Amino acid sequence: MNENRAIVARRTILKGMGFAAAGAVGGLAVKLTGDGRYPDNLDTSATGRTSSSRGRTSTTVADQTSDVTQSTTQSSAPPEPVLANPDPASRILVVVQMFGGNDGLNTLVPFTDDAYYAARPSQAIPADEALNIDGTWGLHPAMTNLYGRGGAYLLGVGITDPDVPNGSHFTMQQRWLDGDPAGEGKDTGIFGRLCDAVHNPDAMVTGCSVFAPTRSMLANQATTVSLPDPGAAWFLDPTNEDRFVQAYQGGLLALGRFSEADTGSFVAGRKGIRDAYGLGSLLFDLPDAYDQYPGDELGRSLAYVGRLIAADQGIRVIQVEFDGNFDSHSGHRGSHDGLMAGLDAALGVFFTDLDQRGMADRVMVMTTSEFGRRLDENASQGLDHGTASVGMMFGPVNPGVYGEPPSLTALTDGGELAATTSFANYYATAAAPWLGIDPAVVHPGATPIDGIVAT
Amino acid sequence: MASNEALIAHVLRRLTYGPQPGQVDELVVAGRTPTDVIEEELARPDLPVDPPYVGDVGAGEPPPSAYDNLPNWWTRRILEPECGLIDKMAWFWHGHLTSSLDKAGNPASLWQQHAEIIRPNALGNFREMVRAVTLNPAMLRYLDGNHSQGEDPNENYSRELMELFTLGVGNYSEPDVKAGARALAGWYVEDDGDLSFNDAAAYHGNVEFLGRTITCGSESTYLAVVDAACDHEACAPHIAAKLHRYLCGTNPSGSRRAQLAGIFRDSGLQIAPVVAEIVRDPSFLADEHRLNRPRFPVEWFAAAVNLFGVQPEWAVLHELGQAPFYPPNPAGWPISDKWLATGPATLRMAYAIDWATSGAASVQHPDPEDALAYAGVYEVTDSTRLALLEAVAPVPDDQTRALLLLTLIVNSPEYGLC
Repeated sequence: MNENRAIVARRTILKGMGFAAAGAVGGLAVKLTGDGRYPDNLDTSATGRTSSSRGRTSTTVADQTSDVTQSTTQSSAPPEPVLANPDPASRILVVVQMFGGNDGLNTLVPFTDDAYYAARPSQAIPADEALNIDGTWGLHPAMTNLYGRGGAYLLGVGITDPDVPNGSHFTMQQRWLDGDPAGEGKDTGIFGRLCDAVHNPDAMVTGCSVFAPTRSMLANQATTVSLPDPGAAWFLDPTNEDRFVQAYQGGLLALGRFSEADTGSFVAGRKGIRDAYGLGSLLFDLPDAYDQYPGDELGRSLAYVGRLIAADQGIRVIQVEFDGNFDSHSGHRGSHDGLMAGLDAALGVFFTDLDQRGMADRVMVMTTSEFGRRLDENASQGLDHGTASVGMMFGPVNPGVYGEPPSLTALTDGGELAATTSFANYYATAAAPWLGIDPAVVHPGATPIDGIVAT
Repeated sequence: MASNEALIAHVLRRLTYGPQPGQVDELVVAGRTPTDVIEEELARPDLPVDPPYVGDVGAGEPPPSAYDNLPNWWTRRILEPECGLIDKMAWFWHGHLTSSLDKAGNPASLWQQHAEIIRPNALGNFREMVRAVTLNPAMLRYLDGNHSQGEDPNENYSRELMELFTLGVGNYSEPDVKAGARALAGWYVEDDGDLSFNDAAAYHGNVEFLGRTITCGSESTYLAVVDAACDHEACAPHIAAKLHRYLCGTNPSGSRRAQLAGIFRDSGLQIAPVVAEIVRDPSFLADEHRLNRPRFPVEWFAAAVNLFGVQPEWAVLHELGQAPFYPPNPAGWPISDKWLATGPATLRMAYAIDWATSGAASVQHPDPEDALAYAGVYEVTDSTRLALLEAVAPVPDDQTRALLLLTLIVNSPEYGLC
């Protein structure tokens, strides 16, 4: 028993070790809950969490709707786009996953649409607060950094086949993570497929997840890993002074030495050892973090992403999880306003970080969320599960609003927004113009959205 | 020609979760040949099953501990030194007729699937297994047969029944998928896990499925669907080839596949005769079939854990990518070099040093050759041998040398292959 307890204790130490094999080998990309049971959802943040109780007093409907024609925010001239680095092979995709269902309508606000204000008496963004982009759409008022930077906003992203049942976090996250809009089943994850397509055999790691589920990183050829932090490979720390650890390091280095005599699976086996050793070493030799990031989880994740990008060791696709209460069935604005502020603060610093490292032309950020929220607010000042939401891309983009807006008056039979853009096409925009790969890698027939990537 | 030791180690890697520490030398000293060991494993009865505490099907909400007890049961099972071919084959079928707790929900239903369907048929009858699993509540939930309505049926199970479980892609049509789904509709799993047939939800009429006309609408319609799939000419070769991949690491040649399929079909889809044919054939021991596929996480885990004398829980298997009762998708765990990639390799390195420094490893073998034999590795590349010699050269005391050797050996390419 004592021995068991010791193991459990040591496992706790190793918990940060991650390197979730799932990403590389096809396991489940879920976190264990405290009792060791899998959550019934891919992401613990999506369900089972009580909504924020921070109350927020909203202005009245009359206040809001009367402002429609007198928005005090002037539409500023679009910011000058950063142009993409001409070499697609140098480009990196960073995906910020916002599981729980991000409300597209309060993220990108239709501030001239009466139907929006009628449906959300207490939960709409007042028209005079939205950051006016084009006279029709305004960004959430907390997103000042990203507003200044300029982003591409794609309307109505979701599943365009209305027959697809899509109210379940689990089902929809799985489809987004697999890049599988119709739920047909894929044997790799969406980002794993992108990694396979851009795979450079000389790169130790092509894709990685930082604090994020790794199902989407499931690849066939490329190496994809989960990198929580450098503590992951503590035994490879070159400054470790323990003699046994030092001897272990020496032995592992020697075991991974290339041998001409290796054939068949021995080649892959030897390479796995060599790369694991090399990856561990890389983690202890990353450039320093930019020191202005917020101290929250997203800030820490993006600070780490900044270091990985600066190391420039061949990583092409990185995903981070923005773990927050997007699933705001009650007290929506109290929760969502804070999330948008957090997203803006962390990404704002991230782009400054990239600017300073001279990498801004090589990095595209896109956000994902399994669905949006319902147009109508419920009796708990919350928003239940919806369908279409807004896709956001930041980096070398032509700023503006893209795609067809879902009608706020002609709803689906279920009272939902009808998606106008398949999320496969959204992913395809990251694949084809940005990473320079065939959009069919995402999904057969997937078509990139023209004009978003600034080249 | 490989040594007896090397061949016996191979047999034990493939047919058990071993070799156990020092087991190969003991068998050789006792005069056993590789053929003897194969026959012993084929004849070995299943170990007694001491069920995990998971509550009962139909008893309502499962006890919270069930979600650990169920996967921990199998995690401990494969660490038992006597655990053999039945468990190896049960794992194969778990990865073939997949159901995962994260969607199938009820641990008691999953245990029922394992204890009453998969395990008794691991070397039993394929048709019986597929028939039973088709109506298993865990499977009905996992592949959405549950509450499927005849007029607008869910096609998930019908498709996977043909694509994964029996025939393979290309041997059925989309109309077959729809027809099978209609015929299989009408089954409901109640909240407590009990099964019922809802006549009003079933499809009433005839469907054309895999070339047969099936009259739908009764509690026995599913048997006609399963039989049409099992009797299809593509079924026996599909299953025989997958068994060959599992046991030999490669696809069989066309003629070998046809031969194995013939044995399978002629036996009435009995599994034991095909497995026996595969492992008794001289090709099972051939050079090209040894160390030619990754050792699966469960295989590596069980062998390495017993080497170090530790008792990890199922969370380790989850991190290694092969958690019992959690197959990643309906296709199960792949046989591929993915298991050798950076992520899993790093995890194995981390666990090995963790176990070495916390466990009760036998550290009596400061010489690399002795340590390799103790760990069941007899076919060693020069580069691995050299690496081990270099690593222990500066280590002065025998205890540390012995422990370091085991810690490195489980990370060698030789140990990572099967």
